[in-house]
Amino acid sequence: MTRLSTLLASLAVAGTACGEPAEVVDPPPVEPEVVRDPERLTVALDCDVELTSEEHVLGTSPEGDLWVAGADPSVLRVFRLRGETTEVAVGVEGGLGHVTPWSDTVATAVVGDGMWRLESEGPRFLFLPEAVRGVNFFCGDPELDGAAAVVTDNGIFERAAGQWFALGPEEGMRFAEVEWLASVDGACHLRRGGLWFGSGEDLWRVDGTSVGTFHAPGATGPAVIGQEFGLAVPAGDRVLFASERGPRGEWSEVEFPLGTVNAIGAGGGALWVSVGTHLYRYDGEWREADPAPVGALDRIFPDAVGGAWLRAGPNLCHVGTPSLELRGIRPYEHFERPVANLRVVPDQEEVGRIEASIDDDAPTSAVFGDDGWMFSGLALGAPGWHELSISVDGEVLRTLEYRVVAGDLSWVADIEPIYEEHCGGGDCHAADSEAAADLSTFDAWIDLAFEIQTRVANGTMPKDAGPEWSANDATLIIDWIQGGLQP
Amino acid sequence: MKQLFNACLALATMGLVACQGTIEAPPDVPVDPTEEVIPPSRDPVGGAELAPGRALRRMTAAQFNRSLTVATGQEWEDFDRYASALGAADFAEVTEEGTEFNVTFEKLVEDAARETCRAAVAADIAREVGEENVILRHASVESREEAEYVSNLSYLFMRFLGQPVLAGDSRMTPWLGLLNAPPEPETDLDDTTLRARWTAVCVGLVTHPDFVAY
Repeated sequence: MTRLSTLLASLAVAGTACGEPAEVVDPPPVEPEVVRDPERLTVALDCDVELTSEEHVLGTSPEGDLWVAGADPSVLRVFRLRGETTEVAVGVEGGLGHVTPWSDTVATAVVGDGMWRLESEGPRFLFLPEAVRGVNFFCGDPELDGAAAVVTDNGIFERAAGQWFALGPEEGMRFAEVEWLASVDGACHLRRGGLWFGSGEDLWRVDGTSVGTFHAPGATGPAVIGQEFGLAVPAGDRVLFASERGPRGEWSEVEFPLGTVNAIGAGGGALWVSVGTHLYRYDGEWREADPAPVGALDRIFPDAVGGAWLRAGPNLCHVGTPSLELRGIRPYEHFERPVANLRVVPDQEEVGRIEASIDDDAPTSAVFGDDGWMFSGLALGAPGWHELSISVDGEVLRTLEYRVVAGDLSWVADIEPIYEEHCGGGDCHAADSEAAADLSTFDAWIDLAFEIQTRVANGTMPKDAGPEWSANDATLIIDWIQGGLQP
Repeated sequence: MKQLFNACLALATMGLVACQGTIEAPPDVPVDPTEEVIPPSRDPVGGAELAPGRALRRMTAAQFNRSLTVATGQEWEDFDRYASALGAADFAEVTEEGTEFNVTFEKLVEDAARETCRAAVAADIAREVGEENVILRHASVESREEAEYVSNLSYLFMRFLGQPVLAGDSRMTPWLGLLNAPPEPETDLDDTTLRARWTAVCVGLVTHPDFVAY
């Protein structure tokens, strides 16, 4: 801010030329919001789960299934929110690394040097190109384009358009020594968000068209993301927030006068912050959980249902009451087919009707059968992001966002307008262009589909993209190519 | 800094034009962007899916017969009779080895499997103590312990399919289901039933797509 003060001072001096000096006001420091004795949030605290001294928590699925590893690395224990415990065989030899659970039976895991999908039917090997092997940790589902990022000793890699890309701040450079990736409910991105990651006090935000680089004094990471607050990163007795409004964000901070932030976690739209023996929850307003968990927490594992698993040394508790279990979809999931089978398990036994509504469209009713309440073949909508609401007897109990990747995209309806706006003008890809390939016809796009896909995905095309170019345009092109290049 | 400069310029203009009032600086922020916003570099490093490999190939008739002999330790006596139906070239009318999957091939493989597996299990049972069995190497028809079943199934998977079995491998489930299933009508599992079941395991492995294809 020194340069700013100097500039303002010189401007003030310029003002004196008129004979009446302008008053220079020092930049007021931003007063952090202070969370001091907020309203109480009465929560259910269940500490029945006991771990042995050899067991440690791997993570939790969006539905709150807690995955635990013990002395026997070949079998994992899964604690469901409703009390049942199941076991999942790893089925692969090698040291178990980062694990992201997706449900009570499915998780993506780093085992040895490889990545595997652990399923009840047995483990499935996930192919990674040689440059991406040796994954230390990851976010998102590495089996889907546009949904995953992995970190190795060689940098950070993102999957898009059927390929893996090494990310760098600029041409020829790579992000190195990444210590954490921000995530929520296992996903890397919010609906319109970028990929956040960091190392020490340095933070980066990358999206399709920009890199934001930040220095956050005192930040310790890892950070989390959420629709209500953007990015949250702990920094001593504060939590720094960046809203998801473009590459620079809008930064603010919240102070906790009772001590240092021990742990934070995000899930289901809520942010959990542990300060000493106090646990705070933010979902638009700050509240303190009552009763408080036992002891200072080392880790918080939130779910998308509104609760969280809390670990304080050997103690493990669950805070919050599960309202409704939803299987077959998870927050921010990417669907390659526009239909899904959803199973809903309501909290109470006596339920009149359960309905699903997508983007506030007319609701669809669940059918009760042998498998409980089911939405069979639920149409998920056109390509793009959607919001799903599940209501029980008219009361909305769950809301989540997801993305349909492939669908009925066509060159005429979806791609040609993008070409006309961004690619065909000037001396670019017009029919009579001499400087670059002619992309004015459907056949030309077919011939150059792979190259177009790569260059759009890595941001080298369109060149000098104006503000009208958006990540959604790139997504449409990639989805159209991967969806079968329909005319 | 461009935005900041523009803001300051606007403020300066206001100050000079109005020549009075308060210049208020924009509020400080706890985190400063340290660089200009630029497009990220995305360097492609490899495909996300394993490149498609070659198409699956079926064994020729001769390859199947040799493999069957090695895996079960028994000769299939009807091979010469059915070789041409299995696709073997006679170099009179047919000069190319047939490697098509078809119903005839499947039927004859099943016949061959039943004959050789029955003989292999019978040979194991008749073998002297101390000699190495082919099918019942880590379990016998008297065994009722699941650990012995798993151990023998793991050995057979490697012998017939060349596939290792790991602890807790879910592929074992259907095979163990076959060995453990209660007999009907419900009686104790006797040795004759277990002999038939180990023979069925052997037949299942010979007719497995991973055995007859590569």
